[in-house]
Amino acid sequence: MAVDETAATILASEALTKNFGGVMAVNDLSLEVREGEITAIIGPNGSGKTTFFNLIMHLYDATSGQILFGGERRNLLDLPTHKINAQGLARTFQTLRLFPNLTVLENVLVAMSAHVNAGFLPALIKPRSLREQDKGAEEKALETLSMFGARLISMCNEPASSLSYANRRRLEIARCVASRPRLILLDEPVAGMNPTETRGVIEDIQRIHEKGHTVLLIEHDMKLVEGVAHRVFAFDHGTKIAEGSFREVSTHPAVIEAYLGKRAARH
Amino acid sequence: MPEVDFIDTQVAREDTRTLAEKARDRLMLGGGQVALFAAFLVGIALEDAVLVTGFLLLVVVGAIGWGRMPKLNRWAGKRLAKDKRFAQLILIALLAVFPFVFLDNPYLIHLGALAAIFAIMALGLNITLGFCGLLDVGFAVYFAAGAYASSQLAVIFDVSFWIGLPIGGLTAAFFGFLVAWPALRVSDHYLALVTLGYGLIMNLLHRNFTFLTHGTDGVINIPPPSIFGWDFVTPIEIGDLELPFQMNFYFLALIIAMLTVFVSIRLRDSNLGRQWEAIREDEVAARCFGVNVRRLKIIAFSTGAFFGGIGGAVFAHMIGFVHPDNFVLLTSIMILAMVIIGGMGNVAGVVVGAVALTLIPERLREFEDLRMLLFGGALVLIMIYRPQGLFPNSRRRRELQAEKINTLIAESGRDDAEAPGLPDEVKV
Repeated sequence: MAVDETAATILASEALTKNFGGVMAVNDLSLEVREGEITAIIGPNGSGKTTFFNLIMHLYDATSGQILFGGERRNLLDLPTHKINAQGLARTFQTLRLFPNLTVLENVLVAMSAHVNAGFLPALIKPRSLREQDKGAEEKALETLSMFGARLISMCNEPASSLSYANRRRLEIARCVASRPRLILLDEPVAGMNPTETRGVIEDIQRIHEKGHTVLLIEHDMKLVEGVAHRVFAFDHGTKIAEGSFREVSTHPAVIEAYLGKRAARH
Repeated sequence: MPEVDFIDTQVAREDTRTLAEKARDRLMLGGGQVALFAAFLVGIALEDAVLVTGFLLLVVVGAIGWGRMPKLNRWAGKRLAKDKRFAQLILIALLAVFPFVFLDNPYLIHLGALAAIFAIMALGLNITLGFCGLLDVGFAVYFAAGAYASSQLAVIFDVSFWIGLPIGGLTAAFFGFLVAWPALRVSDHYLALVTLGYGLIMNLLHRNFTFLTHGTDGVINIPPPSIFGWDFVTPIEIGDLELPFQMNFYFLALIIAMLTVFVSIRLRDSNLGRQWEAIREDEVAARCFGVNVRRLKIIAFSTGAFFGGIGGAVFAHMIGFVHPDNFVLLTSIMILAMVIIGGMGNVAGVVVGAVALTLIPERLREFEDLRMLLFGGALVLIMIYRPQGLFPNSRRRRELQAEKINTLIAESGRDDAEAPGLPDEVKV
């Protein structure tokens, strides 16, 4: 897949640095994610990929640098975490973070309504307008769940903890989509999945992309990265060491060195 | 894409029973309720220590047996779900009948009122702990705030109970708001320690801020509530029958408790409640999806505390005397135990927990010094055999339309069989 240099930038990291004590988790990282693309971040363990995601959601404060989002180039590091979703960003987690005792449907409903200030009085009085609003939200939530066929929707009234592992990962994705973000961040969407399930996820990511979401994902599974990514960033030691199409990056000497050591890179 | 029949287990079915079937079902349901209630009445009327112990053992054995029969459980659950409104009406009727059964034993009516007051407070803690997952071990602070605020207003400024009641609640809510700020910085065990310290400090203040609380002398001569010159300690007379005045307090507490149940359910089912539960389940994920965790935690603390204060105000005006010993750590722990044993987050369970934990220690008074030993032992046993509480918080099923779901699945155009041949298509 070719890299399109004309697309607008949706997310830009500028000289972003984060250190935990003496450890430089992210080190002077600058990159641009383009609107409408599927972008993948690869790199060895500890190369700062997930830290980068956590910085985007402002779960950590950056040591220096900024993360600019959208055409208006808002610095996400100026916003508290709970306001970032409303900007048009949603993420999944490497270690699943569903709401296990809420039902599948409620997991999605939380993501849809959280930025609406939950009022006290309307909750007690429950006016007709609110009832209709709730009903509409429920239908939209069901529509979102139906993107995975019967798999999630048939369990919509069961607690999320009763789902199979693969379906929990799907629910994380559905929860993201339900919040109608422009950019979806997927943190290792196929970690722990078998090859058949991985193929399913590849298809899902492409469907999300077709619906108009920009996707930024972290992944170790090169089959998936090769299959879906328009653009690939390779990370090592908290910084970007290579960028381009999968073919370019996978043959880049610095990337081979990062994964396999210096000797392999020379050959 | 075939019709998906397993959807059937997910949706609410329409009521297709004939009139006769309906009548039969309701008769069975009501009969069951009345029988259970009668057993309860017998239980609390027992005086003899041996009989009380025997009765409690019987209840425990019954509860364990019930837990071992999932089929019967599900059957009963379905019956109950079908005639929910009806069951609620019967329950309210039974609660209204309760004091009339014990006209010659006003102490039991008094206990009933006390149970309702503790139910109000336990429901308050259930909002903080059960809904939002914030472990508050200093709930007696709010109990005290409500009791002192409304009683001192009445004693010093001669303010009516009906104004003192909401002010007591709001004062308590303010104390909940106060602890929310430091509490926001910590979670889990550390939060428990913060609230524990809060409870201990406040109890010291109750003893030493004598200008506000009269210290260990307590606030005395708190006037009873009154409506249009009729006050609650005057018994109502119907013909020759004089109803004990405890009944007035019983109905007052019962009505407020029912209102609290209503508010709890409405909050739980709202957007607000869902966001609270999201925080309880996973705070980081909740924040990432836009939940304003800070704001909602403050609301949870204050709302829970408000009901603590309401309970406190009713308590003060019923007993007529407020003393710092009412608000010690043990009180906080009792209210906490009501919520945990009843089942965190389950409104009905918490009410049952509150009633049981108010009445059982009273009935065990026969054992004198052994009382708390037995009671503590019982709590340990419950936590071993039923750590999730008597009534665990099961998910409420939404009423969904089967056709809607089936169309959605059909429209999604996805087959559940694993997509074949995909990898070739996505090759670059």
